[in-house]
Amino acid sequence: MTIHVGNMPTKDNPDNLALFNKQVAAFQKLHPNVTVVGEETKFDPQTFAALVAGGSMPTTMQVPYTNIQQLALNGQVRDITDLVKGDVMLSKLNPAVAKQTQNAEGRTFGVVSAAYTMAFIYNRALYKKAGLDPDAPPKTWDEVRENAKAISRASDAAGFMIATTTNSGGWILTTMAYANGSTIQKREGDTVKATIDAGGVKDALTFLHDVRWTDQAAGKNFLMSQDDMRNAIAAGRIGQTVLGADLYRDLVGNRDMPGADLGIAPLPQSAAGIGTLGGGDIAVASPKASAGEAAAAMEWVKFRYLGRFLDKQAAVEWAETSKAGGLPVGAPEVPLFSPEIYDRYLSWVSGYVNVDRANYKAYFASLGTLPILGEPPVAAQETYALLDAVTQQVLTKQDADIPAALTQLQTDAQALIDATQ
Amino acid sequence: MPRSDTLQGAMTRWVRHGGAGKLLFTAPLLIVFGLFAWWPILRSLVLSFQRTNLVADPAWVGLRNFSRVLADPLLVTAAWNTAWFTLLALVIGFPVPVLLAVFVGELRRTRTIASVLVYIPIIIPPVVAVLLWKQLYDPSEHGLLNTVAGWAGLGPFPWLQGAETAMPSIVVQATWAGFGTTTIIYVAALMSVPPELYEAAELDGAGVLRRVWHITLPQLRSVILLMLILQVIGTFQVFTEPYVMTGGGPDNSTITLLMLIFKYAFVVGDFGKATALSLMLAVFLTALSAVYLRATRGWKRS
Repeated sequence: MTIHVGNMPTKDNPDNLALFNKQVAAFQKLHPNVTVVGEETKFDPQTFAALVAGGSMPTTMQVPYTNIQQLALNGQVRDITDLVKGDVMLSKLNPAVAKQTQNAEGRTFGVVSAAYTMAFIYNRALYKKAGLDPDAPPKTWDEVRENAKAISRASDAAGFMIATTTNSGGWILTTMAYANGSTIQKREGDTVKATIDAGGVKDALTFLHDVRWTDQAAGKNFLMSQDDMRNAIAAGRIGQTVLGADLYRDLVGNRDMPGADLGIAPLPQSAAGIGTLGGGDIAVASPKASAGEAAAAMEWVKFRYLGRFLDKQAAVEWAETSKAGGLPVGAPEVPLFSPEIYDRYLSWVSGYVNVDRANYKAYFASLGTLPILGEPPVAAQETYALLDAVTQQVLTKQDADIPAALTQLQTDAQALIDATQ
Repeated sequence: MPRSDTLQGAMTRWVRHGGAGKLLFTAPLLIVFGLFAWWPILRSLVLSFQRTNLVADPAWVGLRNFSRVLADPLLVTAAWNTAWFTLLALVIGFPVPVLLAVFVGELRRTRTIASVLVYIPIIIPPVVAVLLWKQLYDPSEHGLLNTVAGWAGLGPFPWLQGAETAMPSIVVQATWAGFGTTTIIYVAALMSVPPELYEAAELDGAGVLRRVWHITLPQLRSVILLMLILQVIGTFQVFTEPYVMTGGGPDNSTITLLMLIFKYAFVVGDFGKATALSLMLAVFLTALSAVYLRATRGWKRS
């Protein structure tokens, strides 16, 4: 049989592509009856529905955590519960990570291929310029604010700013709400309630408003997509922000940021903070694939994304190819398996590590202590879109009425939830 | 018997009058339009009464998609923004090509080069032009437009970063990107004005302004009326500019109806809701055009 697999590295990334092709050959040797055809197709929320409907979705591809529940609900990804039942490799996965692939009824819709947590991202070079210690990242939001002031006094960069468009604003606001002590949705039995009017969102919005208006330390550009944000960080125009800790590979590998300038630290917590938001990629199977094709595709997923953590040869090959291509080895990531398994993997690749892991000590330590919370269970993307607007409002309107906005948001967010239930 | 006779007779007459040839000539047009325009329109009509993500089997939901669209708090915002964009585009954008066309029309030797210059913005791909303007609208004091404003002691303005200034900024960009076509059409219309009219007016001692007011504009009247409704229909479907420049922000101040349709279909994957809103917009624009054409019937002159 033939399976089509998405997320094949593009030709402008020859080293990654070479590794991919090596893996395809090795996989086909293990499974002589399967032919693997790589496709460059990547998840794009704006084309995915058409891709599935048109029958051009590959047998397997990766989707973000954020979308999996909605896609499962829509029947746009295959229920693979029966195909992965009793799988040895998957049973070793970190339970919190594995849970992300299941819906409320416990049905499984994919295999986790990568995970990250939202973290505090800062520019170490700008810290030095502002007379701050890059090895002592802030632990509280008050410290973040002080540092933002110092950075914007010392340079042209924004002291603290977040992405605010294309649903990233809502995603980051949700993260900051967790750090300030409340989620934005709560499951009560069979129903889900919006909890935007709890204190966390208010504190996060007030923080943004104060950095922007009281301290004038948020720069000048308040409409940024995550992509804009990544470019701005890589170009040294952002002092501090909140984004996924997995961006090292992209910023240093693709956007030419000097790795030594990129600071990644645990998400600061208020006294009431309940943790940080976790995210990642889940490899799913096409709803139009046969059971046999879907099963083969999941074998491939395990081989490509999880193999390096459990198999020494796979780990060394991956590290060798990455390093030769100038890609990071040892960049911050959330271990998908137990810490022991991850440490064993690190010892296998230790000769190839080209990331200054000492800079990220605090972040690595936090992975074992700071709780990792999931995304809102229902209508996550619509809720994020709704929250985008309010992050933009507090950053562009000095007299923004935050309590009134929260009351309205609570109503609208509940309506979005009710529409899906 | 007689019945088939008449049918046969009709067929024979049809063939003799070249009916088959006509059909053959129009067939490619009918097939292409049918396949790529009329069939999708019909399909979307059907979709608007279904709940479907194009994967699972569609379910008939009657008017539920329409009521869900009407219940969306963003609908009023988007409709209002779209109307605001249309109005601003009329005030800022509509006179520009008329004035330019009159100016180009007054030129004698340099008319060709002027027409080319006017048309250049059209040649630039829309998204590229929008991204270019996004740079011009840089909100810091180092931004190009803010630097220019700074020479006059004004600004720095937030441009796209302010809820009040974002929409006018987008309209200025859209006007710049679109005035070329309309200007060329007006210039072409001006070329058909009999020169005797101008000569007579000059003999009567009319200056430039009076010539424009009494000859040029009346001669352009029917073209202007047509361009006006075309512009309204076009601006009601504005999408690229706000989508690329602001993503609908800040605080939904530039989200338009087309962006809302896009969001329903491609962000949420709710095609029923998207087609329902598309249909409502199409019906509204059809009604608007009909009213407009009736109201302006008396003003036109052949």
